[in-house]
Amino acid sequence: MRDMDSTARALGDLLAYHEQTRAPKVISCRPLTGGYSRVMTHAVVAWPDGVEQALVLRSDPPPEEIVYKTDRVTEWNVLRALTKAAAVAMPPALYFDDGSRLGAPTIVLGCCDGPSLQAASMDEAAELDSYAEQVADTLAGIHNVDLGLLDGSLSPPDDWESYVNGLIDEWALAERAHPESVPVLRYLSAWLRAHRPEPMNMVLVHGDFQASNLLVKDGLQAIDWEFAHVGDPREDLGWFSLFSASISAPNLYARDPEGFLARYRARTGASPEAVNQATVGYFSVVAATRVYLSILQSAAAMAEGKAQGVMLTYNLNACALGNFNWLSICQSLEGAL
Amino acid sequence: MITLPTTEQIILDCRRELLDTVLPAVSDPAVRVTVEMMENVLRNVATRCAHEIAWMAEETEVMMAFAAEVAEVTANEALLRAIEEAKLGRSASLDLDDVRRDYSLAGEALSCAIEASFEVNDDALLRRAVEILQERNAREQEVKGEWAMIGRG
Repeated sequence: MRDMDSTARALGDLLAYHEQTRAPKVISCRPLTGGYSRVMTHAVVAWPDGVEQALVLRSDPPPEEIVYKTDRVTEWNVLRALTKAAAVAMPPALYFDDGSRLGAPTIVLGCCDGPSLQAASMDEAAELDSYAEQVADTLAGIHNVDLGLLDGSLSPPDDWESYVNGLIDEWALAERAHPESVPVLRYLSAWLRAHRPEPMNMVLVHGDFQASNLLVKDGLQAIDWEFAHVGDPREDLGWFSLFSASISAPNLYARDPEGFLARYRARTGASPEAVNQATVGYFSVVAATRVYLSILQSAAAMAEGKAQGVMLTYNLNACALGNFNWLSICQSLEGAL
Repeated sequence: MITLPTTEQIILDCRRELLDTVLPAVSDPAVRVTVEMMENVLRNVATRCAHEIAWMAEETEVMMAFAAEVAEVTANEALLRAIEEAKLGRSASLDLDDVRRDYSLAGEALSCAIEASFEVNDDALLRRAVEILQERNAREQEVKGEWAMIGRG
């Protein structure tokens, strides 16, 4: 079990360092469940004027338990730039600790106390059409962000062609580096290369855009930006469609995919040739590279005795689900691309 | 050696104990999620240990037969090398590690056969490759069983 007293003390030190004479007092700290990749903590602090504020701490887990290898410094820089520019609805990024106080690299964010869209959409009274529209709008808002506002926190790829080819090749390269063969990955890589859709302009991509990473509060607030990068906008559309089909909550994409995509296109200026159900299906496979390969690498590390944790073995089920879904998607798209 | 109850039964009984005895006594939400994940992993492992040697042995034969069929059509060099390596590396042992190694070598031969089939754009071979992958995926689904993202949402 995590020691919340020491977390509270370390958070107090961090806030005292940043806020100096007006540092708030840490009232409480408790673990937050729900995140699969990072260690999350909910804290409440009281400022000298008596105002209480809830914060969320997003830390790296112990190295041997990391399933998704992403960089907190990069995530912090992206979140900081987006917060500064007020470019996207999201909890503000407030402080960063390199691990010297909190024991692991940690981002401190403002707390959004709304439910996740996944939870909210399971409510019987949920207005699902409205949620679907808000998702399309939120995604369009992210993809419309001026890349200049990112303050160089993300490096854009050279061009679409080499970028997408790189993603496709990753499937096969990672499979070859893995200590056991996974033939479906080699099939996917070859299939994706043979069916590439038309290019699009590169945009800010959230990278893990799914209903549990959207909080319902004054519209939708996007959280968990660890996979953010500059890439093809259809990566987020594809990942959202795939993820929505894999959870028990209502599928906000599948209830009216044409309407969803028409709304997205109207807000981004994307063409129907570039953004349609077939290209979204295609990118639902492409977009999975980062998450899937992270799990695969962790599995390899465990097989070599370098990683541990039930989260890791539990997540192998996601790989099994992915293998099944992606092969099915490729089959369903034969002839459409 | 003692073979009954089977390994599958023993693991499933541990799972039951975890659910009936341990979980109700856990109040920390983060630890509850961990226990629920352990329950899921134990189910995965129970299915695996009951079948994996037989499944891998069966699939190895199927993958090698398909690889040989594609090699005959394409004479692809990487494929021929992978088939050779799988044959040379093959063990008569039924130890899990040995069966797993044979399975992986046959998987590499299948991967090379798939790539060779794409290179020559042979629809019939690609259809057969998909069937083999679908059979493999079906078994992965059986191991996975019912699975939802615990604690997520």
